[in-house]
Amino acid sequence: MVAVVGALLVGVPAVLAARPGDATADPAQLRDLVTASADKPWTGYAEARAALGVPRIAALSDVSTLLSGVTRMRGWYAAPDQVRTDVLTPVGERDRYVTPRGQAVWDYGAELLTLVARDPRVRLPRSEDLLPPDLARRLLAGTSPSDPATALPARRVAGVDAAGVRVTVADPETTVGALDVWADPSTGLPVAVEVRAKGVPDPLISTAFAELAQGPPDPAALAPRRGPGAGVTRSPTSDLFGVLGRGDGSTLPDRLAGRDREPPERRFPALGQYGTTLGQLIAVPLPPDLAGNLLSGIDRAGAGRTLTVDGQGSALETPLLTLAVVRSQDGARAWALSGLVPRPTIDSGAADLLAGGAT
Amino acid sequence: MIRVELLKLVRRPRTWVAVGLLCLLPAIVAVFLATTRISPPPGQGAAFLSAVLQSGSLYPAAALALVLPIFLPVAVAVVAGDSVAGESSQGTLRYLLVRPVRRTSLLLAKLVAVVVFVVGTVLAVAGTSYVVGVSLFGAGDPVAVVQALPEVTGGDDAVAGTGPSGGGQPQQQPAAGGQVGGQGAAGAPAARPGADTGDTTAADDQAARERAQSSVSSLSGDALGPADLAARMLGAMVYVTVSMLGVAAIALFLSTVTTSSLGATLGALAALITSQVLVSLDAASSVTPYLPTRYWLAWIDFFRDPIFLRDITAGLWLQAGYVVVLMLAAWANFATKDVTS
Repeated sequence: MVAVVGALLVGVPAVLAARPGDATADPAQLRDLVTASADKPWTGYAEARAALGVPRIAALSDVSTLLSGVTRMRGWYAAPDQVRTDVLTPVGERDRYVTPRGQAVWDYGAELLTLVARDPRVRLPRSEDLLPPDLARRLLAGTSPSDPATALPARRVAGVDAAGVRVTVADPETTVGALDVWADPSTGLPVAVEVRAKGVPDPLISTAFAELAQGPPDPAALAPRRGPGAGVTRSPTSDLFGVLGRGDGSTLPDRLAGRDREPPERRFPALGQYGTTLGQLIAVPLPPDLAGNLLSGIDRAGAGRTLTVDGQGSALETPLLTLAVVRSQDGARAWALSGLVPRPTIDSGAADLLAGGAT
Repeated sequence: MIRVELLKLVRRPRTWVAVGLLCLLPAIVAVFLATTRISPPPGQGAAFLSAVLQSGSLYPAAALALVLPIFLPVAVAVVAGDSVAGESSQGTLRYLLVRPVRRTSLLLAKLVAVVVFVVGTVLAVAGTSYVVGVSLFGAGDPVAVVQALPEVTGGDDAVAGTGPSGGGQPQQQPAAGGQVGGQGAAGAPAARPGADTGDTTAADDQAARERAQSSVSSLSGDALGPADLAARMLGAMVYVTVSMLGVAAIALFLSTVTTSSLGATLGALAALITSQVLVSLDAASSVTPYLPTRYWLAWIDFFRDPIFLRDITAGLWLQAGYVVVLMLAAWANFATKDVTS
């Protein structure tokens, strides 16, 4: 009898969780619906798992944390400029508030509220990007309309009977193989996302809501707050690329690995965005000391690939994302180069940077 | 029956040694923290250890975080593991059952005794650490907050409603769950605004100072009033108590299986260590929701804003499942067992 009770207690929730959904939707329509879902408000909790296996490098610890392991997030989303996301850790949390007047980041561990003026459009990935709606919209925006969309079996995610669509990325210039998105067929709100790399059978990033309420969130949750006794500081940007991008962009070429540079964003002249699809490359000049730090950090982690370029270069490669640091022979010029791109593209981009844009 | 078991529990010196040791650990940590003022770096170390330097009224939470991973489960496993097997190895179980005592009610009485031990221990740890915390760290650092006020009111245009310390709200925020806090004040360490270090310099804004004394920050940056803090602390204590019931059930079950109380205790601890190892293993994610230690740390979610109930609810169900299944197993085993010693 005990065995029966035990089996019931284990089995019933597992069966309930695993029962398939029965939602159906036209894949192409669902994809359009997802792309247009930025105005759909929600409140929820999501867990993301990433298996990119990025070694920990001091200057990039935030990025490596989110790309390997589990990220737990709570979100309150009223509109694109009224969002709160909490990244939960076992001993605290880090909250980011997006308000019409800028952003605020509350860090419980540091007891600090940072008021952020603006982050660049192109920036390093951060934990909040792994919330299913953000990830789905951000990545789908980089696909081409001609990429085929096929239907996936429906899933039940956080109480939503969600229809699935797989967008297979045809572009050979990116490592992203396919995006699997499950969304509420009535609102288009993405509730689960899986990102697959070319040539890798299992998804490398999977994120899904575990709790979700659609509809406007409690406005009280959206106001930034700071604890009694905590400090307040101001920062023009909260992103490493944003900081670097405010510098001098004159060493950036107009063309990189066959991709034309997009017009630089105001206030971030040194942030080079090459291309707008998933296969885009991001290049940003690095101060020599930071470049040295990163190069030695990548070497110490033992996971870097040394680039065969006319200078010094190391690339931190995962099946999906690559980050390379390139430094000229004399050490005066250095760049960070990053993208969801295959190995030859990084090599040719690094060569172009060192050659000063001559392609 | 239950009274007999409780008396047995109270009369044993080992019970009091266990409780004393559990209370001692947070006290030692507090003394070191208070004398050196060196807190763990942000985001590392046990939860709340950095925050207690600002307000000692948070120290019960830090103390729970200190004893929860190892010491508390060890103590519970020792007491629960000994409950039946101990009688058996001392040869008293036979005599006990010769008297007209139903085995089921004996098992229930043992369970109640263990629960009382867990509740008492958690209360003792929280109570002593509150006293230690407030006397060593004070119940808030009014000076730091008052000094921070001009900075906030002067340059906070980008942040609307930055919380009660923002200067624009002279009144204490109505504390959610104040009723619970009132009830909790009997057993829980209610944060008393008056229990301060007595530091009264630069008292230019009396209201702000009083607020500062009485409020500590939640993990999300909200100011917590005394009643709110007490309610959350009570919730955390109840949750930690329930978390320990799973351990107790495992040890009690093993205690009916073996005649060696050491075996039952070590068996329960082995189960917990296995569970801890698997919880931290990503590859075992398919079974983690069923592991007894999976939601142990969820008590910290009481200190988020809004309170994050998902893991807490899951943890309560999980522990209930363990208690039901293992107590049924213990009952099935014990009720039909040939008691030979």
